[in-house]
Amino acid sequence: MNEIENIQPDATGSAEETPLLEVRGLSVVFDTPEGSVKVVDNVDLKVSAGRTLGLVGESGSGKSVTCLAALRLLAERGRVTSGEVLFEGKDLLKASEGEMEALRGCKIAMIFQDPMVSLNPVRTIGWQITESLHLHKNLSKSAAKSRTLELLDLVGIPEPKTRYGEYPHQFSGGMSQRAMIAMAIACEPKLLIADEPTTALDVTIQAQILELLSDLKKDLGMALILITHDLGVIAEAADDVAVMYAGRIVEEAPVLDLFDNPLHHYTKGLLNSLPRVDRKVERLSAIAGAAPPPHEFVEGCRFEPRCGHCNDNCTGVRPEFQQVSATRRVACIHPVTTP
Amino acid sequence: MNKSLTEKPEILLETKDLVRYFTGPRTSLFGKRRVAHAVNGVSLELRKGETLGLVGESGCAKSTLGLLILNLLQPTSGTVTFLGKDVTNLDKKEWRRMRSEMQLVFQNPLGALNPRLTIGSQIREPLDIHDVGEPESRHDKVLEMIESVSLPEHLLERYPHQLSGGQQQRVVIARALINRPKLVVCDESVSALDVSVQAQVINLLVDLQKKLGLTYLFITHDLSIVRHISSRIAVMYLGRIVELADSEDLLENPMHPYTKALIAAVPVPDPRARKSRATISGEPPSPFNLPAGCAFNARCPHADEKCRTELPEFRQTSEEHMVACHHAEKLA
Amino acid sequence: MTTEQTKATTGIKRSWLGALLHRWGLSGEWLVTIALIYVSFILFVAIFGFLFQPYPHTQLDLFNQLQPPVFMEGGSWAHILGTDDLGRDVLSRLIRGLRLSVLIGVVGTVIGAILGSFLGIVAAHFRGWVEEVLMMLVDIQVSLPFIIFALAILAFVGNNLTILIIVVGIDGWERYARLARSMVLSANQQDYVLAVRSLGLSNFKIYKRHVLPNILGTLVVQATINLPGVILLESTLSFLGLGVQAPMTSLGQILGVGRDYLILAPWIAVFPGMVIFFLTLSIAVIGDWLRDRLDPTLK
Repeated sequence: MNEIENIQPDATGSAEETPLLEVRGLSVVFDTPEGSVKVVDNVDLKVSAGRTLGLVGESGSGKSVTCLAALRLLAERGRVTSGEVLFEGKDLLKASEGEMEALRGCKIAMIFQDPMVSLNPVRTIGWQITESLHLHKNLSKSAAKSRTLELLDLVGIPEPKTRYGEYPHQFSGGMSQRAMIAMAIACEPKLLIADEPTTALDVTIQAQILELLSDLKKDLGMALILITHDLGVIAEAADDVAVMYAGRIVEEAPVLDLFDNPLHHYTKGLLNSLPRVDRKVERLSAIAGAAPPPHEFVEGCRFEPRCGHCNDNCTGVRPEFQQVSATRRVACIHPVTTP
Repeated sequence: MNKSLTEKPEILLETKDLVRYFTGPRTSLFGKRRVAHAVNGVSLELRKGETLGLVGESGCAKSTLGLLILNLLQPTSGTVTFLGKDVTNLDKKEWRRMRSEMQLVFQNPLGALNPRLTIGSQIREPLDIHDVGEPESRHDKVLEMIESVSLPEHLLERYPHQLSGGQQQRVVIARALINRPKLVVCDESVSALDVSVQAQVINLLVDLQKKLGLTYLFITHDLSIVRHISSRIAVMYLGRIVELADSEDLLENPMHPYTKALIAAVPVPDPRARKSRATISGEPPSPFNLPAGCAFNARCPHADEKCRTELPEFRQTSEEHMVACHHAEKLA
Repeated sequence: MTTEQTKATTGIKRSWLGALLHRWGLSGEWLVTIALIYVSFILFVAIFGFLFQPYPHTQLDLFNQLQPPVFMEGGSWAHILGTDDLGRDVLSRLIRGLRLSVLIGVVGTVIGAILGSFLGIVAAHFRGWVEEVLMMLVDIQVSLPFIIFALAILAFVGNNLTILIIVVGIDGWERYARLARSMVLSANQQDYVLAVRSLGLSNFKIYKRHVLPNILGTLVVQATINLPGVILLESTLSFLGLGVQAPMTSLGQILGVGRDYLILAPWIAVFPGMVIFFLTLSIAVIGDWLRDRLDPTLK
């Protein structure tokens, strides 16, 4: 019953091609009553066409804010204080609002964690999808409707004609997420950003959605940024991985390299602390302490209080990236040495 | 985990045919009220000192089962027996005395704590409620407890929102354990915590179990955690237990198609172990509309006419392994 | 966060008064500050005003009837705010009347708040038919033009201060009831109430220790929002002659007397009217500010 085909991830790194989306030195600041807090600190990211970048981190790491900032969706919550976001060579941070609106939903799309709250509860699913089509493709009513039915079928929603006229509350969690994906891919975007798309779903539904995303990626030739805290999902779906901790990227690597040989102590600690369904672990080796909240971020290495492999050089100065290979780098003064 | 065949495990808690229905609103003015069949006949036994993992996805009513066991919800029918005594229909006063024997650790630690009371007063509260010992000695007990959960003493004066998620959950555990209950129901107790903190709290729960001789009912949707922490695992689907076995046996030799699908669907943190096909399609039916026969039949690739009409019996297939499937042996 | 850090990040130096206001969350809220000052002043006058009253409020001075206030032509410093038709000093009556208006307003609000909240809690706790009946009463109250109901009772009962306070207070009980009921319902869903119930706490203690403290804030805010309405209701009833009646005096009563002299001697009505206006406005502003401060979603 379990046909486990081993699909090896694409090991050829993305170093050679021009990236589709390139984030350089992005910093985001939130203004709170207690003062300004830098929640994203000088972040670089690269996604190439047709590849999946897994952006992994825990709550407070800044992974969602980074992508929202890239699409200029932060509104009053925060402001970008430095950096560039180059999409197909053009800096999105300098684009006009009109240009951004044309881009969002059309060339770059985003789906969010909880489909139940991300869909408009007073509009039918059909209306919401056709809205996107009207906005970007200027289709006639009937053309939009037939395209919508096509999309609903493409994302695996049974009986699309009935579902077209239904409201979000009539959909289950998995179904709503499929509807959100349908909305996102309606205009065949080049890049899809998925922010914790399966966290709120059951594990069997999660497997279906991940598979759907993988199929769509292949069929539409999309690039995908997959934001999650679940290393299992990363292992399952990502080609390249960037690990974020306390507002900074701490490690970047192709997925096989990251899991075989993690270089940052946080990555290694995280992998070692996971309970496994495929084998029995005697005792979990937990990382002590907890990630610092944004207003307690320091300038030096932010993982230092929990690390155990540091010395005096680790505090005070921000650890520089060490380029370990063409496709790997790690922000640590003493990265893990292979045992 | 080797038990000699002559040794009978001591049973702490037993449920027999527990059933719980919820009535929903009327669909039309004079229509009938819809009934959600949440829990549909669960018979379980919890053995002293073990950790029974209860896994299932949303809608299987595993949390409801936890509440029924603790009498925080009244069953529609069925019995709950604790240490040999039938506790299903105890009156309120007797139940209040029993409360300190069984406790609940929730998923969301911030919600489980009163935002306006200090940590110290909340950990102390169970002692005050049950009038344990002299009031003067209670503070010492609180200190002892907070040390057992590895929290610094100065947190006693703080308020819940000033603590991190992991710390809050430790406070919830301290409060639940201060009266030395025999049974602890953990309902998704680590699911809301950051991944790097989950391991800490799981280790804490394991250590406390050894130290205090606790019995756990560990309710979760996360198969990886349940493999690590449980001695036996029960798989629930739409209000029924469909498989029950020792952890290793269940995960290495699953017999029910749903269990197999569940195990296969879990993404493993190993990129070389990628799977190609999601193993089951569709979604569970609504508890308002239970199918006749096996509840899993609509999604099961092996379902036949018998599965669609006849409810499978929950039967023993080998020592310590029980399944509710007509074709379990054939598919093994 | 220490004060050094606060100063470092915001870089604002404050005087001691500014620092005090900032600590109360009032920096930049000049309207609320003014309102608080005004209300404190009114309270002071209500409690201690009698010490500054130039004349007893019932003292007649028939030689000086309808004398204008000092800043108008014909006024004198003997009667700063003028006199009414019976030569009684308007300022003195204002001070005296203020006390009764504030008393009725506050006591009435408290009665209404306690009654309404209690019924709301009862409804939420017992559910079932108890809740249905109480909510029906709430609906009836909402659809009733309360003023007519009040007029009827007062006309029947006559000049009775206690009844007046009760009538004026229970107008609006349904707002507390609804609020209390919905908050208790949602509090009962909270995990911490379930946790404490699983610890064996009795229902009454659960309400006292866990539920009530968490809903009190919102009910207090509702009371400050209702208070102006109560004061206005009393003023209206007294204005119409059914509330506070002579020889007792309240702001509304003075207003009522002044009704007949609006052209001749407008000051009799204008001053109490202005006091009522600014008082109710200030309380409403404070109530809004309290509500915003207490809103946990803004924390």
